[in-house]
Amino acid sequence: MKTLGLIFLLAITMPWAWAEEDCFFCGILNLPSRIFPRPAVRDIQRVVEPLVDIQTPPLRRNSAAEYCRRDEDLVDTVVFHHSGGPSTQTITTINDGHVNRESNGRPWLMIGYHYAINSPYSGSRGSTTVSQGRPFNISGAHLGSDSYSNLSTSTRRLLTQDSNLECGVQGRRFSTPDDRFRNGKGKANYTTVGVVVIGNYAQVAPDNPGGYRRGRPRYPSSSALETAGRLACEIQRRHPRVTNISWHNAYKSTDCPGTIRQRIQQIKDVARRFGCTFN
Amino acid sequence: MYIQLSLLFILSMPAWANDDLEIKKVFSSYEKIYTQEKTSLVSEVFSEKFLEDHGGEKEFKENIEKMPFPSYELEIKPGQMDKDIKIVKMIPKGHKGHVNNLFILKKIPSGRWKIEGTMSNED
Repeated sequence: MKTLGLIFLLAITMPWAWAEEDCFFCGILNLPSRIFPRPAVRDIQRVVEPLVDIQTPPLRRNSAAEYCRRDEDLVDTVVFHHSGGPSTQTITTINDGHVNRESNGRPWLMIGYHYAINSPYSGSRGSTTVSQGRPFNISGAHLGSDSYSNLSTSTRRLLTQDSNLECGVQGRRFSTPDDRFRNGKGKANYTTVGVVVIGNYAQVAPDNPGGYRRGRPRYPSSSALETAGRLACEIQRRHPRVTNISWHNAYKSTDCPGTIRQRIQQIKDVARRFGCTFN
Repeated sequence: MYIQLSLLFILSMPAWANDDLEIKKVFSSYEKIYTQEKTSLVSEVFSEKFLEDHGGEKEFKENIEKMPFPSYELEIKPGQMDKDIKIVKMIPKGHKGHVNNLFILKKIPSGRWKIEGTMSNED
């Protein structure tokens, strides 16, 4: 009976004890927080719990396509894009577009981005989700085969090592590609991870009928920016060499990622809140 | 063998040649919409899905903005995995740089091609 009473007492006081910010059971026993420090429990949660829930929908692949497997340490930069379609698009519809396309006669394996953020436009209602696109250890197809950028000394060294990158078609022999460097720069798709914020954040134009009207710009929602920052930080936690954030038109002349470009600092600020620092 | 293959090629040619011709007509109507010469062509150019994705036909028509159209060429590529899809690039004449977006055209059950969507060109 006494034991039952004790269990009952513990059960009803537990929420109160845990509600204390700094210490476990301090609220009941009036103990100083250093005796039963609670932050240890929270720190464990910080390490274990991912900052974003990443969904993994099944995505079609074109088995005839060539692709490149890479050592994940090659990656040092997150690059943001917009999808150039409506915000109601899904990762599956983007994959359907990319799996049907080709560049210079060579078909694409699957969606070119590694992650996709689904979010309504600012001012609209709806939930925000993140989905996994191309696996991280497969080079992206999001900056173009002609995009080369300056590399840090460490990334250059890693890209120089033949064993860190090999390209080929499924079921055939893979080999190190000979297009890793050009004019002292490194091929951007090999050293970056592509994140697309689904939606059309560029102005209407002959080749962009779904763009926003002149003078009425569309922006990503605060939820999209929060998720983008969390995702960038989650990527850095998993891959500590990823310390840069960039955007598509930093590499080439394009209207992608539209107004998202103006929100990059906010994305970095969100990441900083979770302990991640980006250049 | 070579003769047979050549015959097969010649016989199959009209099918894709017709498709490309029809797609060029779609873009000719597309141009008329955006020069506001004939906005009533919206439902002939865009698929139901495209219009739904952009707030419905009425809202889409209301938001059509008149804009100058450069002369352009169309690069029409067949879908790599789906035969009822074409990926179209609108390249302004004399343009050497990057094209912002690609059009996805889909063949509807009646056999006509319509614009189903657009996607950022990540070439």
